[in-house]
Amino acid sequence: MIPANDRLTQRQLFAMITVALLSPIARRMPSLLAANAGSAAWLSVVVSILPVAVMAIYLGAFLRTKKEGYGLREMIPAVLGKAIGKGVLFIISLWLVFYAGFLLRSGADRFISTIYPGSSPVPFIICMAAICFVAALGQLKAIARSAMIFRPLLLGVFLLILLFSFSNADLGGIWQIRSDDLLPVGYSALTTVNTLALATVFLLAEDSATGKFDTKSFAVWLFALLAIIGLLFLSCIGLFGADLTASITYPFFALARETSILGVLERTESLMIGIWVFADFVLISAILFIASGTLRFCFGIEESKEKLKVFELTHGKWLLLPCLAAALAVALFMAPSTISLKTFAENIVPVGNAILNLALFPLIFIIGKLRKRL
Amino acid sequence: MKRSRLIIIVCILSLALSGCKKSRGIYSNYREIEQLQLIQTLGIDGSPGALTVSVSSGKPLGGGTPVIISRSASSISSAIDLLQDYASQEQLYYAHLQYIVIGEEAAKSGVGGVLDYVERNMQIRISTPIIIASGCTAKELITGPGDADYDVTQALDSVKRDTDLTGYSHVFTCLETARALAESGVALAAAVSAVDTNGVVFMKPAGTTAVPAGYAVLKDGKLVDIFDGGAAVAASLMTGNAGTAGFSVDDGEGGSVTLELESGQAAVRPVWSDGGLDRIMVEVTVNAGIAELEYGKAEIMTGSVRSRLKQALAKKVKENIELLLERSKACDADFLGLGEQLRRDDPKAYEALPEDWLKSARFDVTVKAEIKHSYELGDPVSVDGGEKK
Repeated sequence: MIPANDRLTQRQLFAMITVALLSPIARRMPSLLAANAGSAAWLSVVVSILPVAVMAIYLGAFLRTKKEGYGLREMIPAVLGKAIGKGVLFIISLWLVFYAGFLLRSGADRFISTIYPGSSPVPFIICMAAICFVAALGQLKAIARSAMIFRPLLLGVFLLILLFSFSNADLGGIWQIRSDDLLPVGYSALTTVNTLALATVFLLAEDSATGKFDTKSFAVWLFALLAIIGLLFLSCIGLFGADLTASITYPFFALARETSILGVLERTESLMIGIWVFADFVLISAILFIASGTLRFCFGIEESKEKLKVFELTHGKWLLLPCLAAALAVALFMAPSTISLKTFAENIVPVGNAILNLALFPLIFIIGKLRKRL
Repeated sequence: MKRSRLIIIVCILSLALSGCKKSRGIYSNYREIEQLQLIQTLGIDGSPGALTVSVSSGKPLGGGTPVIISRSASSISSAIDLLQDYASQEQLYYAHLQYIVIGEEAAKSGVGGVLDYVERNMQIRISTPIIIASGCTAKELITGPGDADYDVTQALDSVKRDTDLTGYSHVFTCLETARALAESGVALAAAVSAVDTNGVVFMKPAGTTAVPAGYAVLKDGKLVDIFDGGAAVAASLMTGNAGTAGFSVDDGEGGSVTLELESGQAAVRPVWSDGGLDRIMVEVTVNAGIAELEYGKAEIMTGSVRSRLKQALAKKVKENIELLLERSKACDADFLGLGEQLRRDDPKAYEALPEDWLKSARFDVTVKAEIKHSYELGDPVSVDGGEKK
C-alpha cells in the first residue's frame, strides 16, 4: 500500500492517464480506424461515447466499492483466493512487462520509420529503458508530476498540428454511412474503447489516488481524449483519405510532416517525434513501476515502511531489474522489423490489453461485488 | 545499489550507443548544413527498370549557377545514388523539393511507382506538387529552361502562379494525386510543356521555357489524355479552381468583347429513372467582368446588350464543358468525380450501374452567366468626336 503522503491527487492521476494514452493514440489510432472502417470510422468515435461513459461509471463504482488501501494486489487475491489470485497477478505482471517491451520497441520504430532510416532500434530502446528505469525506481507520484508538466505541452502541440491540418482537410463525402459500414464501425469503436481502457491499469493497479474518486471529472477526460481521437482521425482522413491513412505507418507524424504553420514553420515531424518521447516515458515508467510492485507482492516481499533512497534496491525494489531486463529482451528480440512489429501492434497487444482491461478487471469487479470481498 | 555500480552499468549500456557497427547507425542521418545541396526539382523519365532521373537545384542563395544533373538507372533510388556521385562536393538533399516532373512517356507507363517512392521516402514531402511533361521528357523540361540566373524551378513557380490565377490548369500535389487515384482510380495533374523561346523572348539568348499545357488525365495510374484550351478552363471550373480566363464574344454590333471570369461554380445533379441513370444535370454559374472591347460600339451598359453578352458567354462556357465531358467519356475516366456525386446521391442506384457507366452517360449542361463589372469604364470610349463632329 502506498503511504498516504505519497499518493497522487486525482489531477495528477488524470494527467498521467492522459499523457500515457497520447502515446498509443498518436501511434496507431488513425491507421487502425481507417483500416477497420475506412472513412466511416469517424462514426466509431461517436458510437464509443456510450461504452466510454459506461466504462467511466464502472470504474467509478469499482473505486468507490473497494476497500481503502486496496489496489489490484490486494483485491485480486481477496476476490479469487490467495493462490489463484497470486497466479493471476503474476500473469498480469508478465503481460505488463511484455507491454513495456513492446512500447520500447515501437517507440524506437517511430524514430526509425520517420527520421532515422536504416538505424538500429538498439540505441533508442536502451536510452528509453535507462530513463524509464530511473523513473520507475522512484515513486509513482514523481512520474505523475512529470505528466503534469508534459500534458499541456503535448496537448498544445497536438492540437496546434490538428488545427492547422484540419483547416486543409477535405471531408466531403465521409459523412455518408452505408448499412455495410456498421459492423466495421462497431469494430473500430471497440478498438477505440480498448485504447482508452488502458486507463484501467493506472486506476486500479495501485491504491494511488487520494480522496473520493471523481467519476464525472474522469469521464470528462475520457471524452476529451475521445474528441482528440476523432479530431486526429478527421485530420488524417481529410488530408490523406482513408486508403492512404490506412497504409501510412504513423499517420499523425506524417500529418506533422505535411503541415505548414502559416507558411512559416514547416517540417516539424522531428520535433513531434522527439516530444512524443515524453508520452512513452510516462507510460513505460508507470507500467514498469506497477509490474515490479505486483511481482513484489506475488513473491511475498514486504514493502519498506521507510522511504527508500532512489537507488536503494532493497525490499523487493530489485525486482525492477529483472522487469527491465525482460522488457529489454522483449524489445530487442520481439520484432526484427517494422513489418513484424505491426503484427504485434495490430493483433497481439490489443488482444492482450482487451483481455486485461475489458474482461479480467470487470470480471474481478463483478465477482468481488457478488462475494462482497472488494 | 551503490552509485559506483550503477555508473558501471550505465557505462556498459552506453557501449551499445557507440555506433561502431556495420549497419547504418543513428549518426548516418547527420549532415553538415553547409555541405547540403538543396534539390528543388526532380524529374523522372523512362519506364520501370530503365529510369532517368534529372534534378535541378534552383539558383543557390549564395550565388552561383544551378546544379542540374541527370542519370539513368534501374530505379529512382539507384539513379539518385548515381546523381550523388556527380555532385561530389555537396550532398544532394531532397527534403525541400518544390516540384516532381514526370515525362510524358514515363507517365504513360504509370506514375504509381513515383507516388510510392514519394510516400515511402522520409525526406520528400507527399505534398510536393507533381507535374506531367507534355510532349517532352522531364529531362528536357528540367535541363532546358534557365541560364546562370534561374532554372526550371523558377519557371515552374511562374507556371503555378499563373495557372492558379487564370485557371488554364491547376498544379496538384502528389498527395492529392495519390489520394484521387487510391479512391477513384482517376486523377488530374497539371501538364507543362517545354517550348522554344526563339522569336518570343528577346532579352536573353533563346532557349526553352516551361509553359502551362492544360491537364493530364491519369487513369489507373497511367496517363491517358492531355487536354488544354477551353476544356482545361472548364476542368478548372468544374473542379473548383476557376480562374480569370478570358472569353471573347461577339457584341452583336460588329465588335467583340472580352469577358474575364471572376468566379464560377458547378453543381452536378443526377436524374435517376427506373432503368438506372437517366442523365446527369450539370448546372454551372459563372460571373464575369468586361475586360476589353475591341472595335466596340455597343452600349454595353444597356440591358439588351448585356443580356446578349451573358448569353454568348453562357454558350461558350457550355461548349467548353461539353467538350470536357466528351473527353472524359472518350477515355472513360471520371476525373471530375461525377461517380462520387452519384454515389452520394443514391448509393444503391450507383452500385447497380455498369462499370463503364460514364461512356453511355447523357449530360444536360446549363450555364447561367452574369456580368458583374465593367471595371473603370461603362460604355466604350468615344473616338469619333461625338454628334457635333
